[in-house]
Amino acid sequence: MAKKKATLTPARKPSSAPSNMSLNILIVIAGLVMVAFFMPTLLLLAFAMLPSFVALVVDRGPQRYGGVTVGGLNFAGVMPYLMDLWGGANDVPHALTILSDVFTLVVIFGAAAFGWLLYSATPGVMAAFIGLTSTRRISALRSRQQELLREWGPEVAQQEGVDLPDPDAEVPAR
Amino acid sequence: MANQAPATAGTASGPVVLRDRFEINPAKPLPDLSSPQATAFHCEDRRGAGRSLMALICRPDMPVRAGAMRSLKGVQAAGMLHLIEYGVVDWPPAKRRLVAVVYERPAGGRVTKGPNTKFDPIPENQVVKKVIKPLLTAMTEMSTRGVTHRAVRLDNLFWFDTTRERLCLGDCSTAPPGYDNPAAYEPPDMAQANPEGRGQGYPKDDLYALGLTVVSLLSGRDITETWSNDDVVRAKMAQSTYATFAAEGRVPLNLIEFVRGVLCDDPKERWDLEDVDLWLQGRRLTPIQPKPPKRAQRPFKFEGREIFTMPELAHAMSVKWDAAAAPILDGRLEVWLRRGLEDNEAADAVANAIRIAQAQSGDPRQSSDLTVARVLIVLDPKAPVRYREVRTTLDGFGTALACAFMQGRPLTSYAEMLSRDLPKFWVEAQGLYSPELGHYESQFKDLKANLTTPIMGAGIERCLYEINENLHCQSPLIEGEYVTEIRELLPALDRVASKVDVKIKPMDRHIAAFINVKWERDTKVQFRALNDPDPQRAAIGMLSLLAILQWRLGPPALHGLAGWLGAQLQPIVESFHGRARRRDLEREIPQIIRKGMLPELYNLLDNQEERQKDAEGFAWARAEYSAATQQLKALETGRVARDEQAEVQGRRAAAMTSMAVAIVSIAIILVMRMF
Repeated sequence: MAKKKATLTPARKPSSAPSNMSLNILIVIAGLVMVAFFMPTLLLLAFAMLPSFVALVVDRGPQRYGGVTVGGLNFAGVMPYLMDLWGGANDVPHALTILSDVFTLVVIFGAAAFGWLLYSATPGVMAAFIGLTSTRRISALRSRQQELLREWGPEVAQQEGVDLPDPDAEVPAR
Repeated sequence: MANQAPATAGTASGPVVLRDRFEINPAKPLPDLSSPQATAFHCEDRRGAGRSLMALICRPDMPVRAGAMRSLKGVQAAGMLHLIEYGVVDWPPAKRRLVAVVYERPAGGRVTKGPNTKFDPIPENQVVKKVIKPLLTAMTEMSTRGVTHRAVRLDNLFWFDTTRERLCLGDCSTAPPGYDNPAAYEPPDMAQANPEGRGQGYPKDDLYALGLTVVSLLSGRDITETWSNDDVVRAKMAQSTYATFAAEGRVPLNLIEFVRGVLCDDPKERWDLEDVDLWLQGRRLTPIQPKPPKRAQRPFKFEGREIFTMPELAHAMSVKWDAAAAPILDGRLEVWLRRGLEDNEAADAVANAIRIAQAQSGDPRQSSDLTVARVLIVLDPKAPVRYREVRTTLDGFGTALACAFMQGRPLTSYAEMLSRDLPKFWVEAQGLYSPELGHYESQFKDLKANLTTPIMGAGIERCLYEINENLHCQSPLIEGEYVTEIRELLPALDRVASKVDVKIKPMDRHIAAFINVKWERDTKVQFRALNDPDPQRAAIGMLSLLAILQWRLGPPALHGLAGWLGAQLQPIVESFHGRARRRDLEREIPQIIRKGMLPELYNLLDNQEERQKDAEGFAWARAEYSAATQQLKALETGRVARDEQAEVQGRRAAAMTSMAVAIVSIAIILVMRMF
């Protein structure tokens, strides 16, 4: 069996290497086609989506939520100008005109910045929400335990293997 | 034994009334008519029958012969005092309840005025008329009722009338059988027993005592008064009773036959009532003198004495118990039996008894005592069972045990006798089978089984009540109430409830054993609960036992006992887990206590439905508490995980929000462009 595996493994390597290579070739061809036929769009996106590329690079998480969050809003900010480009003279000078407008850049990068803000703030908000929920749950559980102690006495907690709690005392916070 | 005599006259607080009829005056003692174990007091019949009465007030630490009282009550016969009534009375001088026995007062007084006093001898031609005939009538009357007198002795004879024409026997019921008889008045086998262990005996034993009494009456003094018990036994063994006390011309010719017949030392050959009756009717009988025991060619030296027969040696060893083990264990006895007595059968039996006794007990002291006891039985099978200080016939074992209990003496010897099967060995040593011996064997087998059961309701206390049918309950709580019947138990506990510390349980080993013996219904469940190591189960067992007695026997209300039990019920209340149920019980218990109904109290506390509900509720509560604890632990120890989760979820939410905003924005822009 081991021998069989050993004989199979080298046989797969040549087949995967050409596929990766063909993918890379495909990407290069697609890039060349993009440069050849969609140069203005590529130029606009390449510059306007820089925050997204940075976020993708900076965010090392497996899901790349940072890139997605920033990218989503960043693209939403780019979209009106991209429509302007495609609706008007779809050429490089027009793209450069758009990119040279300060108001345009503020909108695009502001949207990206809002994405960053969203990405940074949401975990904190979520933690606060979960914390609040569990505090209420702890309080409810302690209150129920107190009630059980009053109703059934300290023996109700005896199986815990710890000293019997005083039914009149508050359940101590841990 | 010192007479405790709490019955002696004290402060007179008026007469004590027995059965609403007989007034006993504690301020008027009658010392001349007192028995050794009971004090006589003046007594009057409210119905005014005109009889002169006396009441004997019994000692509290001495078992009385309640069976004899029951049988002899109302019996009127020549030669015996008329026992009119008996019962338990409150006796103010002793501040307790005691047994009182009402007799018709003998008009002529006692025959002897005291020890070492002389009196006018009865002429030989009047002995039959004044002594033998009336006393034989009394003994026959008693025999038909299955009772022996066992207190026939000179100082217990009274002149029935002032003319001194007829003698009568005094009281026999206020002390154990033969208890006050000097050893001389007891046949040789019974004389070797302790006074309390002599047993009921047979009418022949009364006739034996009558024989000696006749000799004393003829002599005008008690012929036995200078003899010690040991001397009496040794003399009877060395010669015979007749040779010891009736020889030397003390007995006239016309009475020799009678005296030889009734004083015969062999119980089989001794005259019985029928023989004496035949003799009185003129039939001449020749008493057969018993064959003396085999005599050794050379003596056995024991404690400075030279002994020639086995019974004498057995007696000497029983008196010097601690010195007896050495010659038995070092083989000197066996050698003497083989060479001196030339009785190989006895020697083999002794060797066998030693071997069995040594194997039976690991404790050296017990082993030594058991060896001596078994060897003594081999040497003299007719003698009482002897074990250290205890010397008792099987018949008298119960009374001896009762005396030891009542007088606070050690019980170890009695317990060891039972546990080591000495009674069984004694029965086997008799070499014959009789229904009586079979009865003893099974009775002592049962006693051993009870003794070795260590629970409350069994043990030596149960043995005590099993073997002493009429003994009153010896529990320190109610001993003074003199409870002899199961029906009297709860009222007695009710009466003492106000005098005792309520922390003490109204149940102890004596009360439990008393109930177990006297109450013949199935109470296994109650006793099992009573002996449960869990105090709550034990308390339920105690309550259920007492409740069932009240339910079956009454009385309808026991306020004192209910209150006493109320103080013992905390473990039962605390056995309920639910605090609400406990509060309910604590509210309801005092209400039932006020009614004095133990069954109701028991039903309240052992309500199975409530108990099950409580147990189930508690189990649920416990599970819920445990689950809550685990959840709390999870919530509190999972903070780091929760932060990580918030981070992941927050970022995912941000991404989704961002994507949603992007999609909506793009869609709006596209729509705006298109239209």
